[in-house]
Amino acid sequence: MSLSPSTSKMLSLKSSDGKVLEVEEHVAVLCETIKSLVEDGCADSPIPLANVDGATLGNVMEWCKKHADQKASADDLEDWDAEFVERDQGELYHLIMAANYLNIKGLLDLICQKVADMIKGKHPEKIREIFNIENDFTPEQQEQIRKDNSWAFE
Amino acid sequence: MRRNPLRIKPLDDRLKKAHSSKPAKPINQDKEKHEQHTHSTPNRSIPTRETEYPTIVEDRQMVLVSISRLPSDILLDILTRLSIKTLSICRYVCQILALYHSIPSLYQNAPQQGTPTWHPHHKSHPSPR
Repeated sequence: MSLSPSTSKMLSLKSSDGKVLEVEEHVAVLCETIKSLVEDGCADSPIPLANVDGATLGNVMEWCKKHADQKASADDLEDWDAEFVERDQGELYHLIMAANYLNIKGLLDLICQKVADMIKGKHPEKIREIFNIENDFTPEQQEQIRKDNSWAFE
Repeated sequence: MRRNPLRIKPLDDRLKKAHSSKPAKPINQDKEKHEQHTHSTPNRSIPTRETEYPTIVEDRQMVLVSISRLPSDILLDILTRLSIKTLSICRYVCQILALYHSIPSLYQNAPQQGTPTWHPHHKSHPSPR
């Protein structure tokens, strides 16, 4: 099913905190979860999205709106995406969870790549610091791993 | 009295001194004074971190719901985007990531960029393609 902006009707999406967002159908169907509901004719009343809060839903729909815009060129989208993911960890976490729940492959890919880029080229201490991960190794385990992976630390 | 070869002051001496000396001025002394005036009960509850440092707690909560708590399939998706060298470094971050390190499929799509020369004694690693 493909919907053009001119034929698109409005859908109501209800977030976990009770906020209702009116979104054009051709934008909302970028979420596979919503697309399934629309195809099954279950989108007449506000669609409850129990795992997505209002702020995150707004951000997700902002991404969907940009990507549903047929006028946007690939280069434009790439630049726009790069700016879109310049967020703090908390927001990225909520976005990643929402993209997973709403089954938006493009958005999930984008944020996973962003997180991978945040890890790349960092030392373990820095990765722990960035992601607030506790070092749960014993000194002996730590030494053993360092020995096994000495080439990785060179 | 027992001889103290290490010349460490006994703990009780230090405690006595601590109790007799003038207590250090707390950072939020003015606030406490104000609260003492407003609250008549002497046994008021000790302020919690939440009431004393709301912004710090907010930041902490923000970080706690972060990347390290992602579902395993998403974490795996992120790790598969890393080079073998970065993956090996990730193994050193925490035990969970060390566990992911042992998943062979992680290496099937791992970019070779940054892969060092293979050494036969590095038996814990898959041989580079």
